[in-house]
Amino acid sequence: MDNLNPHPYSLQRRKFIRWLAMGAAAIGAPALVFNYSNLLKPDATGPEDELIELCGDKALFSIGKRWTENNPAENNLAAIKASLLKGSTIANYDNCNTQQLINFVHAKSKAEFARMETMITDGWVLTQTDCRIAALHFLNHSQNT
Amino acid sequence: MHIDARDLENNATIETDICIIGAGPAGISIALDWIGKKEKVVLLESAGFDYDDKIQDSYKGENTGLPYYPLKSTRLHYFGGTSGHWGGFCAKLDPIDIEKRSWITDSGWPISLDELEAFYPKAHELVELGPYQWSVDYWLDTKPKFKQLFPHNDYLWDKIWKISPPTRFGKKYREAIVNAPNIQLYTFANLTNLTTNAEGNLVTEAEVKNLEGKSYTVKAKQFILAAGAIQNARMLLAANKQQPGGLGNQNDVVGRYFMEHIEVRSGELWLVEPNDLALYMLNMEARAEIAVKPAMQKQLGITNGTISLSPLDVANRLRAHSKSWASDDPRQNIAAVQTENKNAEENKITKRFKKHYHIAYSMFSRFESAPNRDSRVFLDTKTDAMGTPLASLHWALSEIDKKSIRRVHELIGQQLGAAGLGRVKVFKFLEDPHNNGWSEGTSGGWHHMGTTRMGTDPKTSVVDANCQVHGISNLFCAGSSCFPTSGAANPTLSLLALSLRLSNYIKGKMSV
Repeated sequence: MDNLNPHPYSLQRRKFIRWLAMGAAAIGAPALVFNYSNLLKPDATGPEDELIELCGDKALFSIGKRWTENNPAENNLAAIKASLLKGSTIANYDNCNTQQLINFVHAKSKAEFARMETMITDGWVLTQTDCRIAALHFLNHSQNT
Repeated sequence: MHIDARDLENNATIETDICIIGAGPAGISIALDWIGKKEKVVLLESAGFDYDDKIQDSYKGENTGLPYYPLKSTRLHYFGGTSGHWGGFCAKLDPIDIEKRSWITDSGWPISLDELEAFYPKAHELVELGPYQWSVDYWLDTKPKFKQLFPHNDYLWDKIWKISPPTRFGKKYREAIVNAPNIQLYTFANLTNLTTNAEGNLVTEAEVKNLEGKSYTVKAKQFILAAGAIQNARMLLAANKQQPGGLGNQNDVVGRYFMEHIEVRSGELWLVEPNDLALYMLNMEARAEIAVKPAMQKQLGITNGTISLSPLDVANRLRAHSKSWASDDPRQNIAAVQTENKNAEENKITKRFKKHYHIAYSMFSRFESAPNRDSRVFLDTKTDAMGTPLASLHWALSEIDKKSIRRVHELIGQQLGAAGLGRVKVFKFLEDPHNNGWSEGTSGGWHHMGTTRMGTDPKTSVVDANCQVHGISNLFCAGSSCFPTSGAANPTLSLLALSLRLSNYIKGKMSV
């Protein structure tokens, strides 16, 4: 009689491959979804989030420190916040709609870029508003530590 | 017809209508243009059909200026010339490259871009660039993945670069040259002197030697130097038996105004949202580099240049060209660069999971260098095996060169920020506007230009608008040695167009 099952392990092998594929899909699919979506992205907490993402926390800290050193009048949170809000209808920096605040500060920075009012600091081409955001980050961080 | 000059009898004389010295892209393109004509053309090549290290030794030289690649390795001296290892990146000159710019000393060509434009299609064909399409709109329509970073921007535009296979002239056109009845290709034929009549206004013969010690003479009606910017200057300077300063050098201009493209990693571009920037990435057909519009160049008082983008992770794994290209032997250098490029490539699967892959890009500057009289090729006291002085190079840049690169990065940073797309970071050496130093990674693009520049005034130029050496009616220079300014584009395409224009001029002159 012919051997009908020349590869006695083929069934197990098939099973193994099937489980492997299902396992990869179970792990890989959510990873891909998370990778290409904003599901894991935390809600914005302030105008500094974008610059932290772009320049990195350490660089932003250094830029902010430099700004406060070069502009002693803005070496405190209240002065920085007041400068950032100049031209805005937002009355209170700490007690306002976060998204509204972010939109205002970002628009202010974009307008400065458009007017080519920039400087190079720590290598980054930034606006005064960017530097004030960095200063805010620095002062907040200094206060917390 | 091909003749190995080593087989010629010593002291032989060859008579011809046109003698082209140098069988690189410029010389070959001119020779091809004469196929089928009744005129006899002699094409002299210093080596054979393959790399020859002994011949290549004739092109050694000292670098006395800014750090530069070993001269022996920056050009290939055999049939096909440096097209034997070029990368194939081509772009056309911009109208502003040709114009007289008040903010750039000694700028301006004696011809219009239209005069060159007529020869671009043929040059384009020679380097196999596919469809003659240079507008970004064409490529945006053709490739749906291509999207502009700054559409409708007032200051920036996307300059299209096209990629040749790259065409190896030595392989591609060997058969056509060798089989042409009116073309005689002499290999192992090294020019050692050009003799003029007593008045010095006509070249009567070229003295040619080879390593075997044989000499012979070429008598021609027209002579064309097509040996590259360093060698064209070297040959004119070394032809100093009758005129002590060399031919065409009454005003001490031969060899001066040497230009190279400044190529250096110069910054980083960080995006708020991932973008694959496909239009700007390296591919096999065409890509864009970010350039500054002419009005803005004028307003800022800067030179022309482009910024190419590549994934930051990949760029970070590559060494500066000046480090990879350090050997005297071009074969070793090209192998080193190819290996490094291959090793730096990103894995197609893992790059998808890298957080910054489509966020962070390296900015690479490719800029013209402003004409600078002190940047020059000059003769060394050492000679090659045939007794011709070697050429040395003093590469110098100007204040405006550094300022231009810095300002372009600022401008791109400003436009990126204004559009809410991200931020730009410049490298340390560009940060301080008062620092004119260059980073260690600054190098050239292996593009030699200037040295026999075109112009109407013999005090600031070597050849006239027809590439004829001032005062010598039958001596011409072909190639990028004639460029008065370099533009930001790699020179091959434009030097071919200019060579074809020269060929056309000589046809008119000889009533062909």
